[in-house]
Amino acid sequence: MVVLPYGKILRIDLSRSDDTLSHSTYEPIHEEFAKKYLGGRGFGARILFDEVPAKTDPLSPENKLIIATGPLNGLLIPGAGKASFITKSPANGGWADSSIGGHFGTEMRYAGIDVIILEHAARKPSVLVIDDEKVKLIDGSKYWGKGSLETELELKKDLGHDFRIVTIGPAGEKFVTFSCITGDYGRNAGRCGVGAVMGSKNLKAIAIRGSKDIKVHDAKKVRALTEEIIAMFLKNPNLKVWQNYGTMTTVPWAQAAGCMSVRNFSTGIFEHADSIDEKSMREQVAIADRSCFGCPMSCGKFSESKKHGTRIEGPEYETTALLGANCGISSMDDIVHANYLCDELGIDTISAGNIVGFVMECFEKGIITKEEIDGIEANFGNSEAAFELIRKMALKEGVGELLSKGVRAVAAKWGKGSEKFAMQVKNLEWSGYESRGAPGMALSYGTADVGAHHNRAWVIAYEIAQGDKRYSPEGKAEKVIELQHIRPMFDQLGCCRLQWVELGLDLNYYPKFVNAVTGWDFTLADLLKSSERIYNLTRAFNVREGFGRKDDYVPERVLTEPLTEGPAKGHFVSREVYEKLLDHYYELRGWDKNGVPTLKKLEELGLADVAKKIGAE
Amino acid sequence: MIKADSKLCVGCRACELACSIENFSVHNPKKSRIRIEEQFPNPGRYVVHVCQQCMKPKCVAACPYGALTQEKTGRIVLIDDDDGKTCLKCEKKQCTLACPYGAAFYYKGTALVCTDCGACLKVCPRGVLTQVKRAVVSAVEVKE
Repeated sequence: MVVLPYGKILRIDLSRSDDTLSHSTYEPIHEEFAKKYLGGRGFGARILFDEVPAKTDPLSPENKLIIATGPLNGLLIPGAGKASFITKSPANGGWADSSIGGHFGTEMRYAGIDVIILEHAARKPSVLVIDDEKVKLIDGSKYWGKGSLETELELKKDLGHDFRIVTIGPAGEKFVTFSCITGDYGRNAGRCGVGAVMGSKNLKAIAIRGSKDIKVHDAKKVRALTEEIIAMFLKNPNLKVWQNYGTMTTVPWAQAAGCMSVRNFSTGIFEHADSIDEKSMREQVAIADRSCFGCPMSCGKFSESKKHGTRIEGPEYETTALLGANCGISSMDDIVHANYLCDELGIDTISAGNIVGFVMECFEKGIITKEEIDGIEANFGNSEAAFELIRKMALKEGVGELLSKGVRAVAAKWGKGSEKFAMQVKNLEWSGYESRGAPGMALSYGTADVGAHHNRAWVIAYEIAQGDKRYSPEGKAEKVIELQHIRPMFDQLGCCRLQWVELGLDLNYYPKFVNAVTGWDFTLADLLKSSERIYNLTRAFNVREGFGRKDDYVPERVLTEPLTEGPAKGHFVSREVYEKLLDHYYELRGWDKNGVPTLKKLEELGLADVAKKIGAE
Repeated sequence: MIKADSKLCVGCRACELACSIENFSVHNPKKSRIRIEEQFPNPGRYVVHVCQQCMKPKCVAACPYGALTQEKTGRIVLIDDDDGKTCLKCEKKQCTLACPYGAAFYYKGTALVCTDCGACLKVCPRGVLTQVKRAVVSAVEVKE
């Protein structure tokens, strides 16, 4: 039985394109499937596990790119504007997902589509156009080679301004392992190299326009709940802070806690933090606030670099921490321009800033010479050097060919001990939190299914709030697991998590919304059980690819180098502490010593078939 | 009428949804009588389009079927009567072309003009929208 408010699964074989894509199929989403996986990342996890076999080359036509949104997306619910891009990672061959805000996922829902499965590769550079039920491939050669943002603007001119568009930049075309997918002039599915997979399918852009109704079980209830939440938010003083500064208040918070990413994570304190904080952003570069679909928080800031004459949505905290402090750059204007370059060329700002910081540390330590990096004076704080390195890695020019493979590959090539401070897990570059003073955060990074990304479990906020107990491993594995189960839920439902994280929205609203739109009788525990299922399923995907405990590492720097300044001075997460945390984490999760989910756990989650496929015992 | 201060708008489009829910009981921004236009990267702003209840409404004058009329309150309404005065889906969508505010819309052949119900302003998180008597706002003031 099909259930409201789900749309359909649109499956497209790009290789058989007769331009009209008449072979595309719409598949129904059955209630049993919906109840088990909910939507978004959940649907993507099941489909990818079933349809992309082990050892598939991520950049081969056999890999699939899945775009999935959830049952709450497109509805009058705060923050319900998220969609996930799901695929096999070109960075590490494991599970990859990256979500995008803005309005793209919402437009899918208005076209009656919850999931798009892109199979094989188009024969020539193409653009996929979905206009309600009219689906076609158009020639994309005139856009090929152009920037992400430029392509979006041109396509809007060519197709109509009411299309919602996602694009890849030159980096995605060239399979850079951290290339992103961009929409709404500066919103990104930034992580895991999803842009490279789109590039491997010869797909420059996807344009979508929908005009259909989304029907729900009880529209009045949805509206009443939302009006209640908005009234509550309007009384919350933090709402104004968020509307003004977005995620940028994290800069002074991280500085005070000594957990900012500074000079390739060599310290957690940035002496120029005042120059790149939320007030500098507001006063020096921001020209407008922007919201994702249906969100009252408008954390998006649209900014201008006056020096370089460029405009982009951002910078938010991660971009500022990585392209700013992590490269020793203290000019807000330069950070905006670096952000623009990354978005236009189509690379992730987190990975880019991480890699530039790494190059700078290697250069200053004499591990590499100027000649080895195409004559660039890569000192910390040199903005021009950062711009040049960004350009080279995105276009694979000169040293950029190596940089485009990710920081793990660069360290493997340069050696001389640089592996110790190559800040990555599973070849995904570490995001903006120095974690030597936060063992839970180290565990979160180490065990994240995609690699070193903070959004699986942002446990550091909980740890810092603990005062001196932040340094203790006690209770941290439990907290990491708790958060790793809450966070997928948002991606499954097609919602943003910030309403909960930052404005304290009670999680019990989410089952209320789910029940109002579907007519089901779900509790919060039911939703969290489903996200535990997803966390085990993506783990199983990785296990099938040969991942295990050996891949749940953290960099040597975290395990051996004490912090030299700030409140966490003298702290690091010793190897012994980390390994014990990992043991405890696996045990709590019902996984074996190698991090493989047990048969018992998978059966409990209704994944017996998955257990069989990975040989779980 | 709904007065909009576009400078405050952040483009979340909650108003569009509230409108479609109030008037059609569905979630569908394409059935909304208020629309947010994005102008990025230049000049880098949002513009709200909603009926301004003009003193001499051009949409009413433009309708080839006489299907639009203005009530004494200023509200524009779509007539659907037996005399044949009804929106007959003119090809050029004359009312949408005539409206100086881009605030007359079409959904699959039916004109949509603001009913002044106020559903939109209840969900606006930025206080962009207020409901006022039309005399308060002059046409010139609203047009950006």
